[in-house]
Amino acid sequence: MSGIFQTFNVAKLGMLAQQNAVNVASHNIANANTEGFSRQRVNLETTQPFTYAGIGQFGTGVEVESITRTRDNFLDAQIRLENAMNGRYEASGTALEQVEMIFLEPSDTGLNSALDEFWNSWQELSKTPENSNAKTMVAQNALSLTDMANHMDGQLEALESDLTDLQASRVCDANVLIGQINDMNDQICRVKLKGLEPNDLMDRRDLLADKLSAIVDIETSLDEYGSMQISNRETGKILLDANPKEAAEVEMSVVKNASYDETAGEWTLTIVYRGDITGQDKTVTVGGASGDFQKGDVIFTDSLEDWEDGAVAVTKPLLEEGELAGNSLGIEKTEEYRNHLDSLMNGIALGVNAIHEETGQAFFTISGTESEFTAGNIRVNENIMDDVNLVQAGQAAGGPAGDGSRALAIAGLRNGRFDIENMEADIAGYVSGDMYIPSNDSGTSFDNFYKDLISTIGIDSQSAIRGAENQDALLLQLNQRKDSISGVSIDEEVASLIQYQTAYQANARVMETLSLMLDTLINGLGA
Amino acid sequence: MRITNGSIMNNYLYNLNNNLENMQKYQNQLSTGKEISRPSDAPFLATRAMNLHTSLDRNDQYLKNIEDSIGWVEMTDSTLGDMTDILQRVRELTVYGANGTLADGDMEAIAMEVGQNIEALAQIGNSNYDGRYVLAGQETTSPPFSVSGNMLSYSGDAGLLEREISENVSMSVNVSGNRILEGGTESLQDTLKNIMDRLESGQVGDLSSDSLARLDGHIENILSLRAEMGAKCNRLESAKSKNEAETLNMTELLSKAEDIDVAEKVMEFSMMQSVYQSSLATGARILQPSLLDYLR
Repeated sequence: MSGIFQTFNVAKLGMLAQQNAVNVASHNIANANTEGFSRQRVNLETTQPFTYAGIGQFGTGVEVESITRTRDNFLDAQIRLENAMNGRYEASGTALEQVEMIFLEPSDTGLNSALDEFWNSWQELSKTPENSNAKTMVAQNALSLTDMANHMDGQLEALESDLTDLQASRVCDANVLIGQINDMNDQICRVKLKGLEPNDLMDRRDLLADKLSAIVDIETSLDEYGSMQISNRETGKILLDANPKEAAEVEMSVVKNASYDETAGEWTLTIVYRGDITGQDKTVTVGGASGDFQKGDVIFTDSLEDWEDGAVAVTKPLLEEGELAGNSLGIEKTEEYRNHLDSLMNGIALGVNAIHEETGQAFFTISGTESEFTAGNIRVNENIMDDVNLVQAGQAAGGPAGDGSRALAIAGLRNGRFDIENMEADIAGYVSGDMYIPSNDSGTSFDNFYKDLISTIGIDSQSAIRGAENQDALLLQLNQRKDSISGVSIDEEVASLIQYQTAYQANARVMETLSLMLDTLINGLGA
Repeated sequence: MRITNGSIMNNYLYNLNNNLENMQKYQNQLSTGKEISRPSDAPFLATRAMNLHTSLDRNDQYLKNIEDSIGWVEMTDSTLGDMTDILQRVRELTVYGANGTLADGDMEAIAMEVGQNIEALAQIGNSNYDGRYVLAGQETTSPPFSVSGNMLSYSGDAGLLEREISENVSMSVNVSGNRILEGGTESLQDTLKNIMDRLESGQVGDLSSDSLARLDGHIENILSLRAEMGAKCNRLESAKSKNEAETLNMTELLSKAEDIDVAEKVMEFSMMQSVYQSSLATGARILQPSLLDYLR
């Protein structure tokens, strides 16, 4: 038989439990708009029943068994994977968008129209070779062509360095996030060891992991103490050890400059250590077998914390997803476009020079010590800029003033098809008397070579933009699902608030009833 | 599925942003009048537009070349015409002098007029187009014909002036002076000099038996040169009309490739606008209320 005082206890436990539940609901409402927060639930449980011989078991009340967060770990992994893909598309899309702005095509002011005007001025010269105005036009149009190529090359180079800096700062962000997750691991382990659920800390750790997953493609796993281990998905290398005291397997840094020494068979890399731009750069040497390096590459090394300059094991991870991969792709593509532009300017310069140099000076010259023309080093011969009469229009030097056949031959280059990436071979076939470079059937025209570049840029950029759009839509769906599991619904919380409030009131009523019963027992019987 | 306030908000913002992005796209197209503003909008269309721009630009240059060439050829033709007129006059004078009934003084007067005509021939032969001597071959900067002692001489060369009139098609547009002079077994300057000499010395027989026939040969030669110029002119004219037709076609293609259909875009834009406005209106209704609004 249970006593009144025991029932008092049941009511007291009931009130306490409801009060706790109200506290959890209020915590949920307070965090309805907190990023990364997952809804918490109070799990109530009956207390140990009391056995009364002959009757059976009496309930002894309620207690809060645990407070848990509602979270789908599988969904988290999925979102992190898609985050990484999104990061790659967005980063490469942003880079390519800037490339498009540099090329500024189609327009009336791009390289395309500068090329048109350059060839047309040779046509005009072929008609009026007597006229120094026409020669001035040739020189000036050539100058605006080279100026534009130089400028574009400079902008592309600047974009590459910007992307390298961006890469370093993103690696820095990733390292900071990894450090924060490590701190979280430490705190979480301590709470877990006491057998409790550190819900809010785990939410914050998951949020950090979500952010990290956009930068670098990661896989996470939890050990028996609930500590999170993070490894890179592509390489399987451990970026964060589950043991907060243990160092990671590899450290991430960014290559700022790479040079290869042929004779030593060795790379010398200047690296932004752990992406920390404010810190001291380190110089490491790496054997040639470790792969090709270029600026902007993300590299994995052992800890270089207390390390002096010299040889060290460096691996270049093949990152496929994540912002780091997107930035690398952006740098790689930009370099590819620069090379394409270099080939174009080299082809034009060699073609024009082959015809022009026969009776006069080289029309285009290289600024600096390089042996091949590039978009950055191509210049119009300064002597020609000083004296436009050095422009050769006729077949023979000092020939008839009205002979514009050489200018016409140069203008005709735009009709020819050449293997532009290997222009030297085609130039070798130059027929001097006819002022003619034989067309190469497997080649392409200068105009089309440039248009190929623009369409490549367009397609690359378009696929990045579309990829990002698709990922956005996909992530929205996944986040909806996550929200439907972990998100706070105000309606729901308000409803449970009322539910718990009612239960609290009812428990209080029980207590009141018990009090009346006691009153009856003590005062009523004594009278 | 459990729906939370947060997911409604996120979904709403995502869609609203999409709508706004579409609005911006249409607005951009309407304000530039172009379908695309960067290659990634439509890579194929962008390179096609660039191609057409280049082709149009080249065609413009070829049209300029053709028009210049037509000017040059017409100038050459009219010069040759003037030369024919002068030679016809010389022929009349020769016929007149050959009839054998004239006094010595008259013969001298005729000889003088022929001399004047030789001078005139040189003067006309030095006609220029845009400051360049049309009959001088490639030596276009110095007058090709001169006369000394009734002897016409040519200092130009036999060079051809080539003009490109369409892709990989070029033609020469000039007649060099040597082709005018060397129209038979005896050169024009010799024939004219002989006529002068024979008029002055009264060799009437040679005038009619030899000089007239030779002069006829030269007139014939210049006429055939004129015919050549006429043919060139025709060729240039047809190249011009072909060029203009091409330009017209390409302009139309370019317009189709890169210009927007304004009526269609305005329609699309206003449709988008009403979608955007109704999404704003819906947002105002679904975002506000919660259970709290109904618990009193």
